Amino acid sequence: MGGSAVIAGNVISGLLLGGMFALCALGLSLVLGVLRLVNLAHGVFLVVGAYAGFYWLHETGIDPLVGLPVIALAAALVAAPVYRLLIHPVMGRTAEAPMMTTFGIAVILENLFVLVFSADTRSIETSYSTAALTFLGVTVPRIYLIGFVISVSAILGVHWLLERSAFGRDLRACAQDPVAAATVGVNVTRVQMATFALGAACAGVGGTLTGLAFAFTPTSGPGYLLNSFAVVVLGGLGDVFGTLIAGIAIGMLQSLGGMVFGDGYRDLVALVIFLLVLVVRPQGLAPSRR
Amino acid sequence: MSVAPLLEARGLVKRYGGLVALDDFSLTIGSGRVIGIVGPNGAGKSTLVGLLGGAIKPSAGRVLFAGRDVTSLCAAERARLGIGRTYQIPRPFLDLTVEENLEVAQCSRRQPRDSLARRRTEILERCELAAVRSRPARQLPLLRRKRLELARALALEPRLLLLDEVGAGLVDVEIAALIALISSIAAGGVSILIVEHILPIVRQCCDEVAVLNFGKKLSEGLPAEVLGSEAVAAVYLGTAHTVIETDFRGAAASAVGPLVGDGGQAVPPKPAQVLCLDRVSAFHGQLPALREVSLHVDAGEVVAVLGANGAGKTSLAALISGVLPVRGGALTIAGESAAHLRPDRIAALGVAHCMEGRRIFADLSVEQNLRIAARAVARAEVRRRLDAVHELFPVLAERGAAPGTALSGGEQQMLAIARALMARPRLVVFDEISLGLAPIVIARLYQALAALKHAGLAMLIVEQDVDRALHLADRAYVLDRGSIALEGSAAAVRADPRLRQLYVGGADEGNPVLSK
Repeated sequence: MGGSAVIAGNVISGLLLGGMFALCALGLSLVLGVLRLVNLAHGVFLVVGAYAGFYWLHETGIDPLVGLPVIALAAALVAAPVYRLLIHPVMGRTAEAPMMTTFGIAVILENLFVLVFSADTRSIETSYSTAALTFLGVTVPRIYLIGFVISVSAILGVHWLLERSAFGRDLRACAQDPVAAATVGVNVTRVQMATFALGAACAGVGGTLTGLAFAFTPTSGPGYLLNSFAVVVLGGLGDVFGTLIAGIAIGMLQSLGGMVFGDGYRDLVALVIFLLVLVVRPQGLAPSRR
Repeated sequence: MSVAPLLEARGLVKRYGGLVALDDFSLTIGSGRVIGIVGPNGAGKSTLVGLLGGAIKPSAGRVLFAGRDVTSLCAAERARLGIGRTYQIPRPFLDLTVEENLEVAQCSRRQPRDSLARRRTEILERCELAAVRSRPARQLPLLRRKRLELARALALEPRLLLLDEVGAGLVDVEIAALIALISSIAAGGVSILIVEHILPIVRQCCDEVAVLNFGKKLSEGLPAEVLGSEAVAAVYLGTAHTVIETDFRGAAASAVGPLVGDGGQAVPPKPAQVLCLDRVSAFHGQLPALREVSLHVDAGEVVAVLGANGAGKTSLAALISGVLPVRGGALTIAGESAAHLRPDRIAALGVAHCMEGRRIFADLSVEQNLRIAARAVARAEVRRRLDAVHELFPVLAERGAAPGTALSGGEQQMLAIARALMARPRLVVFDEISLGLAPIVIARLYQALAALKHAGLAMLIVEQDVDRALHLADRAYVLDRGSIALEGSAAAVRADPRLRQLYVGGADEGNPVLSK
């Protein structure tokens, strides 16, 4: 009885956590799909989200979940000019130049974190961030369930935006054929900037949720980035539902892997999946839509 | 040529999805022979080079080289067996010197170093590159890059050379030099397959010529016979099919009203001249694509842009829509200077571009493909325009929710035309709308264009189907290697004997047109 409850608890924890992974990876996937840009600063953007949640609570005393819309908006407003001024000027020449620019941004931000926020390990302390939730004999951290619900809602919102709105239509056109999109009148630069901002907004929310669930440091970014890569590779480029399913799959496999091999091997599981998928099915697991 | 042929292709077929690029094609190249392949755009020529060189895998059929079945070998393995190729756009290793480029090609040869070096010197001298042997390839101008492309293929010591459009982008004198070079290589016993739009090269270098059209071999024989035949002229001029007479003032004419003209909208008054190019030049990398082209389209006028493949027609269309940058000269759209505007700004000025290859957004539904072009327009107006294009092409209403690329080729072309119209443009550039379509479908498309003309829409029709375009157009320009070689009213251009010369060449080889 005890053993099966532990296993069930791990599987469900992994599933819930996977929803958050998916939201954390969504921005990376969108930027890669539309801009053909590997945003190496994505992990650091998640850390920015975590710090934003931390200082929001610290300064205002208001629940960080209430602050999520503000954090998302702020992330988008900061990311848009970063794209327009730093990344866009080097787009379209070689694939490496914009990628290296994002790497530079990541290094600068990481060092700024240490300078401004100190190298201390932080966590966002709320009543629910450490509380457990028991249902039918299965125990999971409450923040996992909250994070899952918010993440899936946000992902569905992005899905709606892409499928139903005029912006989403323009975004998908730019992802497929930017030259044709420009020729029918789409301002491709603006769509790219908006996509980058949308990715940052998702990272802001995902980062805050991650900060609520786990402790983080100024150098947590690269680990987050690798985890997001695994999700994107598994889910396929720019595919919103693929990302959600891949996130959940990786969350569950990580939980099971951590249970079998010990908690220190969770990340290893994600990386092994990442490599295996690249070898076996580089186009991602979702059935191709193109 | 009594010995076994050097290369034999048997029943080659290449399908891309539903499209058959090459259909049951067989070819024999004897030792030391020079074979030419000609044919209009989309005929399957580049596919053929890819299949013989190993870059493309055939859907069916076999390739035999020197008696051995090489169908399953990749390009590198075939290169080591002795099949060398050049690319249409030269691809040298830019940071290596000219000589190092050749050394790379020699890497699989087991010979003493000094004999390899001697061989390199020979090749460089023959290709007239000896003087620049230690310069980086990046510094070479186009003609020398083309020579380097050839020299590098020769360094493989090939028994068969595949030359893909080596003449593209060269001027007359350069072409004459190229002909001499190819002839000297052939004299050395190397077999050569030449795929070429520039017919003087084919006429002077080849022992035999085959004509490809729609993936099939149309005819083959001696160059003089084949290139002089009416059937080949018809393939290039588009008179191979019977033009299906269309009713220009059909019922559809009333439907297009909401797509053309002011229609109650606050559009600034129409300028007399919608488009004007004044001595405009453009380049693809180093390749000159257009040289000092001057052209204009007045309001309500239909202008055809004709010319053989590689003459610069699609470059011209890309330049007008802002995709290809203007380098020199002035581009004016509706009275405003548009030389350095982004494509979306040019679209906002009222120029719609119905692009070659249709460029339908696969991820978007048919209706979304249409809506995306109607920008910054009230809902009711979008609805009116949708209704109008639906009346013009009812299939677009029936398949509105289907993904754009689920349509047939002809329906996709209708969608591309309708998408251009959704912007309610002053001018539409139609780029090769008849390419790869059945005559009955082409007739249907041109019926729609005729209705648009009747409604007063200005159009620039880039078309390789000369007959079809001249039937509709008021005036025509004929491009030849990036310059305007002939212009005038549609009737005058149609009657001008130089038109045919521009497509299939004339008696005076090197310079068919400029001998005025």
